[in-house]
Parts: sequence; structure tokens; C-alpha cells
Amino acid sequence: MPWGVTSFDPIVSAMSCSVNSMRTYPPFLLPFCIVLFAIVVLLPLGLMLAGSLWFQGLTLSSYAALANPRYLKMALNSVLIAGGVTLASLVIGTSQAFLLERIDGRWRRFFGVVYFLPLLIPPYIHAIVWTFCLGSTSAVNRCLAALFPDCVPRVNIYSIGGVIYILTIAYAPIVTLCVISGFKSLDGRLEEAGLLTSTPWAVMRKISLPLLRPHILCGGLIVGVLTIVNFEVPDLMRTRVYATEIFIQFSAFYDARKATALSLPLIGLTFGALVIVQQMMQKKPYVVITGDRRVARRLAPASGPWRLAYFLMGFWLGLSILVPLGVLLAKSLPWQNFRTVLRTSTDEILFSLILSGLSALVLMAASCTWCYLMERSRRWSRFLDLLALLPFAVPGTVLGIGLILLWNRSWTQWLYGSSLILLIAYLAHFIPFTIRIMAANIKQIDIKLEEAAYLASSSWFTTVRKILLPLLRPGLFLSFFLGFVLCFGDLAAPLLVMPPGRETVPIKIYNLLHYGADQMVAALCLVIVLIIFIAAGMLYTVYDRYGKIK
Amino acid sequence: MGKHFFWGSLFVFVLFLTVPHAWAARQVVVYTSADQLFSEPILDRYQAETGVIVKAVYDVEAAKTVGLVNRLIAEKNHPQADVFWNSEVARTIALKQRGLLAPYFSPSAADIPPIFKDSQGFWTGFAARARVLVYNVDLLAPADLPVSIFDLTQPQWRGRVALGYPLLGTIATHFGALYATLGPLRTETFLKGLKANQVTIVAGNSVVRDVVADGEYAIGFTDTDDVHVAIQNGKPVGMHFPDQSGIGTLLIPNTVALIKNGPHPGEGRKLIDFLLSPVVEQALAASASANIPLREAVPAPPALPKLSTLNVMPVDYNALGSHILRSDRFCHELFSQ
Repeated sequence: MPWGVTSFDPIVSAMSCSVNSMRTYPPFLLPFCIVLFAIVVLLPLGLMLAGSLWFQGLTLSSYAALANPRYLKMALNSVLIAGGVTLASLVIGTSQAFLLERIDGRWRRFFGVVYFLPLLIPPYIHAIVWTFCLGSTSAVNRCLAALFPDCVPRVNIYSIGGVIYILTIAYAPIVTLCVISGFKSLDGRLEEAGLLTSTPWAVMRKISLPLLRPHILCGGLIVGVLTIVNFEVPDLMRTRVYATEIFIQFSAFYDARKATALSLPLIGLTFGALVIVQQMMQKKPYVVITGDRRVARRLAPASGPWRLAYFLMGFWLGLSILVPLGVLLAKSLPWQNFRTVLRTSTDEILFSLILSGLSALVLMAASCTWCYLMERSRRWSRFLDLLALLPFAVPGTVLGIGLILLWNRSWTQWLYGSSLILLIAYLAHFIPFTIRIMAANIKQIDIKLEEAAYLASSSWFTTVRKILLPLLRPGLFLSFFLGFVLCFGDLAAPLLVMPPGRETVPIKIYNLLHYGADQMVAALCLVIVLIIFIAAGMLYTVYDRYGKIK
Repeated sequence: MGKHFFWGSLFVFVLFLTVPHAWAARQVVVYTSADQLFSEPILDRYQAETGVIVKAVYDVEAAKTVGLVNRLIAEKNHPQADVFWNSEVARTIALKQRGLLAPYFSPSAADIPPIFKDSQGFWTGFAARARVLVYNVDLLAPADLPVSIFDLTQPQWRGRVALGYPLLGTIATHFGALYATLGPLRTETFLKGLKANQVTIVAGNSVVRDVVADGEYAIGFTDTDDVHVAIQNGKPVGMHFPDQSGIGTLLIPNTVALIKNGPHPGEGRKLIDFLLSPVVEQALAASASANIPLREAVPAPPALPKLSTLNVMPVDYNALGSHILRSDRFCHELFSQ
């Protein structure tokens, strides 16, 4: 076989996937990970679930609310919004990734550096920026009213369409990140061979996209889950969604039991979506890293229709980057606001950066280990996969209360009273997301590489360190970066377990928003975007030097 | 070198997370839902004057988070806080009803009118805000303003009024107060009237202020601090105290309470004494929050109305606390349709 590639041949590939893997990892690793996962992630949720079923005896009274028909309409809104955002993000994110990785346009390097910037701005700030631009009294609508005085064709941002638009801007870069990570792992010879007989478009459709399916679906799932639990943006856009009801049970009625009960359909819905995705991926080979490979080249120059595609990508990036950053910059002036922000928020910025960085590191290591066990332990694979899916769509508020119930005890004050509790909160909240990312990456690695290395060295640790981790670098970097961004922007769970005397950046931003300090909010957002952009640049430089699969 | 640097940095960062924020023999933990901009300088001042380390947890805007009340409820068996400083009153009463507060009659509160204090000492009010109407000065002249909030159910206000989500924060407190003062029938008729008159529900009081300032709506329900901030920022808005010839304007005091079985009860009481002192009322009156002092003797900026010049709604705050759940349920059903 001239390419050394097994995935393209269904028979060889199926053989490759069904190899009876010898258990090479230490025997303690699996039970240790399951127990740790149960304590950190599942126990807080289990406590909340048990509490929802127990009120002076076993009862289902909290679940009676689910029969209320009012929730059905809100659930439909939520599904519609989540579906719309996911679909739009998949189309935009995958196209962007393909153009950036495979089409050689003039602005490729620049676009490749800035495309993730919208991800660094909290969705709530995106919503405020766009209400400023497209609200009913905005310049756009005033112009439309002046042009068409008789029949005013208003742009109505306060609608389900508006929510979909804003959340797509905020979340589409997640799909792009996931798919780019997949592209970086692909063996370039697969596409080059396809180019001998087909057009770049056909290569993308018939070779690249099928092999990247785990990454695309992973990105879509993350976007779908983040959307369905988001209520801040729909709230600002005056659209009632199901997640708002969960929040109201907490904030207006202090009813954690009913809030937990109302969370179950969300968890069930997400769980169902994940199971469907897994079914779609079953029995299909995705192994593309078999040892002998070549870094991919660009498939085509940006001419003809590709130039149009580049133009559209530039237009979208302009909308999603220039508009929010421009509005924030305009609102943050004069310049002394930046000095004020740096003077008053340095502690919060440093604390958030260190905390999110460490949490992302732990998330990366934990999800890598979990996915390794998931892929390599034949008997436990399905069980581990399902276990990791359970906490996917748990609202941060439910998790936060569960963490208090579990960890606020006299003998755990060393943990609950320190910032470690925040690290645990982030770990419990976001590990399903990074597990999905790592799972998509680990699927691409042929187990035969490890088996061969194990035969040569007889040491599992050496095999992991010298074979597996280098091959997983794109996934590791992505899970670190996305974990960092998710931790950095999280609000609900940290607020409920924040140690006294500490504060994170999102809490600071929301506090500033309350008393109308728009200039300070804008300046702080820009400072944060700049800091993370520089940090991401440094990370990318490290990746460029050490991270690429050679 | 690189590896050593990495592991060394990691060790320092982990140490940074595990070490408590500050070691101090004398410390007090306060949970506060008062805006950080106004509460932080006051807590810093207390720390500077006494040497007691003040560890604060700040809430964020009510419409965006479940907030500290849920945290206090969840921490009931092992409280972490000594003091709860709430920017309104209803949630403090909810904590009292759940048995989370300890009684404390602060000597600093002796000259605060009894209506703003719990008779059993579980909470004490200070530095109030008022529920007012914010209006756009480009769209409405002072002569056009409604005398009463009940006028907003009239046809001339159809589709021109904004209201924050009525289950949260001071909005819920406002309707709870109407239940306690007017009774369920009149209050529910009023709320139905608002709904029928196409009142627009937005995310919170600050959003009401913003949509009125932008001219999207002519008038809206909000708090004095929100309007003050907008006026200071040069927005085209004005503030109107409704019902001065009727049931009166609702005053919502800040409240402070001692947490039952908190870790530092002695320091908690001292902080409460400080927060209830005239100095703090004066500072809050002079701040952008522009809280109305509950003591006549406390100096306040001339733009701020004196308590004695206002027709204040005669509400029994403990009764308000009892009515708020019913009010919330009714509003939940009415405005979710």
C-alpha cells in the first residue's frame, strides 16, 4: 500500500479499528479515573438530583411542573434557537476552516489569526453591541424609516432571528477551531491523491469532510449545548426560552429542587443529540494518523469562486469582529478609561488568567486521559462515553448549588475556602466539552502505533509520552485553548462558590454593566480581548514550533 | 531549563490557588448585593480604619444570576458569611423566614425610623432608593407625566411603557409592596391593566433606563440610582416620583443582617454597626447611587429629596416579604403568556 494509510480502504480500516487491543495502561488508571470523575463531576449533580426527588420523603412533586404547557412553547423556542445557531455555525465554521486551511488566499494568514476574536467577547456584550447597531432607534432603522416612510421595513433584532444571529457570531469560531484542529491532523496525501482526478470542491466533499466528521460534529455539539443553556442573550432580545425558567425557579422562588427538575429535559435533550451523533459515527473509520504521513498543502489558489468565498468570509469576519470591536472602542474613549480599568481591575484580570490557565491545563490532562481510556478499554468504552455525556447540559447554577452541598463541610474547608473550589467548578462544568474535543482527535490515531511502541519499549508511560502525546498535540492545544476561553467567561458556577475576597473578570464586567458604566465595560472588554489575543498568539507560536504533527 | 521553568511556574500557581486570600486574625466575611462601585469603597474604608480584613463577595445584576441569596440558603448548614448587606429588603426577609439570620439590635440604628427596622432585630434598613418613573425628556414634558403609576394603564400610554422582569430584584419588591398595601385584588387588576396596555418586559431596571434613554420607550419603572447614573452620564432622561398625592412612592432601603452561626459573629456585629452609622448613609447619598438617608440629620446633596418631603408608601416590610411569593407567582403566570 503506497500511502501507508488505512482509513481510505474500508476493509483494512475496519480491521485496524477492530484490533483486539492489548490492555497496555496500568490497571489502577481506569478505577482511579472513574472514582475521581464521580467525586468531582457526578456527585454534585447526584446530590441535586436526589434533592429534587426528596422532600419529607420520596416525591415527584418537583417534576409536576414539567406538565405545564407553558414550558412547551419555551422549549420549542430553545430548540429552534439551538438548531438555528448550530446549523449556521456548522456552515460558517466549517467553510471558514476549509478556506483557511486549504485555499491559498491573499488574506489567509491574517484571517487565520483573527477569526477566533468574537469568541473572546462575552455573548452578552455581543448582544448589547448589536442592539446598539440594529435596535429600533439605531441609525440603520432610522435610515430605513427615512427611505421608506410609508412602509417601514424595520430590522427587528428583538426576535428569535436576532438571537440566532448574535449567538452564531459568538459561537461559530468554536466550530472553526475544532475543524481546523482536524485539518491539522489530516494526512495531506489523501487530499493530494484525490486532486489527481477531482476538483478541490469534490476533494473537500468526498475526502476531507467525511474524515473530519468527528471534529465537525464535536464543534456543532458544543455550540448547541452552549446555546441551549444560554438565557442572557435571549433575555436581552426579549425572547423567552426554556433556560430562563430554570433561572427563575432559582432567583425568584429559591426552589433548587424544581430548577433541577426543569434541567432534566435539557440534559435529556442533549444526551439524545449526543447519542444520535455517536450512532452517526459508529462503524465508520476515522483513523488518519498511521505513522507515515505528510503535512497537507493548499488545494487551490483563491481564484474564481474561491475568491468569492474568501470575500464572503471577509465580510462575515468584518461583521463579527470589526463591528463589536469598533463599537467597544468608540464607547471606551477617552483613553484614560483604559488606565482606570487597569488600575481597578488588575487583580481580577490576573486572577482570572491564572485560574483559567490552570483549569484549562487540568481540563486538558483529565480529558486526554479519559478519552484514552474510552478509546482503548474495549469493555468499558461505551460506559465511559455515556458517563462523560451526563453532565453536558447542566446549567451552571444547578452545578454551583451541588458543589456547595458537597464541599461546604467542616473537613473540606481547606478546599471550599480556597480558589481550588473554582478549579473544581470549572472542571465539573466544562470537562464534557474538552472530552468531546479530545475524543474527536484520539479517534484519528491508529492503535497499531502504540502497540508497536509498546512492543519496543514495554513501558506504557514511554509509549504515551513519545508516541501518543506528540500525535495528539493539535487536540491538546485546542482543548487547552477552548477550556481557557470557557473558564475565563463563565459566570454562574463561579459566582456561587467564589471564595470571599476574590473576583473574576466576568463578575466585574456584569457589575460594571449594572450601573451603566458602559465606557468601563467597553474598555475592560477590549483589554481582555487584547490580553487573550496576545496569550493566544504566544500559544500559537509554541504550537507552531513544537505542536505540529511532523 | 524549559521543563524546570514550566513545573516551577505550575507549582507557584497551584500554591496561589490553594493559599487562602488573606491570613488574618481579625476578619469578617460580607456577602453584598449592593453595587460594587458603591459598596467596595465603604468596605475598604472600614478595613483601613479598623485593621479588620473585610472579605467580600459581590453579587451581579439580579436579572443575570441567581445571586447570593441562593448561596446563603445552600450554605445554611455551614455558613461562610458573617454579614449580608442587601441592596433591597424582600430577599433579606426571605432569609429571615428561612431561619438563616440572627437577631442583632445595633446601637448605630437607634435613630433610624422603626418602619425601616425589623421589630425582632433580624434586619435593619438604611440608605434607601425609591421606585420611580424614568422618562425621556425629548418625548415627554413634565406636564405630560402621569400622576400615579396606575395612570399607565390608560390608553395614552399604550405601548410606551417599559418594565423590568417583574419577578426579580426591586421590581418584585415593588409589586410585593402593592400587594401588602392595596391587597391582591387591586394589585392584580393593575398588573392586568399594564399587560393589556402592552407594557414591554425587558431584562432589568438598567435596561429600562437604557431603552427609555434611547427613546425606544417614553417612560419606564426603575430605581433612583439607575436614573441618577443616566443623568450624570448626560442621557436625555428625567426622574419622576409618582403617587405623591396618592399611595406614595415606595422606598426600598438597603438592609443589613447578621448571619446565624457565621464564623466571626463579633466582627460581624461591628461591621453592622459601621454600616448603619450616619457616615455610611452620607457616603451613599453623595455617591452616584444617590441613596436617600433615612435620618433627617444626615447631610445629603441638594438634588436629593429629603425623606420628610416625600409622600412615602406606608408599607409593612415584613408583610411585603410574606406577599412577595404570591406576587411572583401571579406575575410569572401573567407575563409568561
